[in-house]
Amino acid sequence: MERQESKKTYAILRKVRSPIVAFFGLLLPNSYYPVVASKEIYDGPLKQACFPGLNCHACPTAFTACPIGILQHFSALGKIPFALIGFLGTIGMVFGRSVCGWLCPFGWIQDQTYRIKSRKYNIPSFLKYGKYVSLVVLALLLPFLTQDHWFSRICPWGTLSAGVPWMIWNQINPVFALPVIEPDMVGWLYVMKIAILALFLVFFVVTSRPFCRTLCPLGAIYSYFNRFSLMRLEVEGTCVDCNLCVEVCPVQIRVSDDPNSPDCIRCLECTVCKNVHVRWGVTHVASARPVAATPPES
Amino acid sequence: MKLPQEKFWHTLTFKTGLIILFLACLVAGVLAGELTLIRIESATL
Repeated sequence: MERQESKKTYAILRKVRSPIVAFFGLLLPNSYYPVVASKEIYDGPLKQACFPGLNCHACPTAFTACPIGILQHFSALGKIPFALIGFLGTIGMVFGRSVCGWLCPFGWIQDQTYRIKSRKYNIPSFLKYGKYVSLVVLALLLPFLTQDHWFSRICPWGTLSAGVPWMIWNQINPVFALPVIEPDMVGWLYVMKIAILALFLVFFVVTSRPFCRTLCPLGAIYSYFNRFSLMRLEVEGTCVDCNLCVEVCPVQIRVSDDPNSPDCIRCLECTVCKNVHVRWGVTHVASARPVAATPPES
Repeated sequence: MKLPQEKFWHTLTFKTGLIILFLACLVAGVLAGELTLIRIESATL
């Protein structure tokens, strides 16, 4: 009986996930509409707080700071961002990589674009290590060595939510009485950013969550916590290799083999299988080779 | 998955220890005035 109840809850959660991300991940943190009149980005007290997901703080309507932007800023200053480490670490320890599945606006955009009918492709598995390279090299090492924000230079979400809107809008900055983006700022770097964005937009249609799996440094940080987080997935029962978990998984994990894989974004789509469950606890560890699952109930 | 008794305390200590450590980091960063640095960076285009 308890399992049937939990399965109903999972079904509801799967249905409401997309609206939840759209509202709490995309609309709410990007709802500073007074920018239309003030022509200046928000600089109030909420900008002291990081949004847990990837959300560019240069977006005209952004209310909060981007964790990766702040990580680069501290690296460039040669300081350790204790508050950021504590913030992301605490979220990671409790929820694992759930932020990627439940709060990240760029993840939501990838989910929506992947719905466009086209031929679909898998991502080679070695590319998943790209996000760790991105974290270490682009978000930590290069900013430390050059005092420049290298990940922000290529971040397609930053281009889409900040670079393009400012360029199109190009409002006059009231402080300097100049356009926010001056014509001479639109050089090769801007063209490269647009090219990277265009490339990823094509990838979004033909592959599922390519940015999260191959380039996102925030996903790389959260991925470390999936093995230890209080929230975890468990597979109970006997697997008949129906492959349902792989088919529904947006990051194509074989959940029956590794339910707490570092790539799992905790979207709970795999709970469509009757033997995949969410478990919470301090005294449990992720099983390396769990007992596997049976096909879904018809 | 149920843990054997010898691993139970190890896991409990490890996870609660990490959570306490991260919370301590968060508090230390806030007390050290890092939020001001975050605001300066994030409120600049």
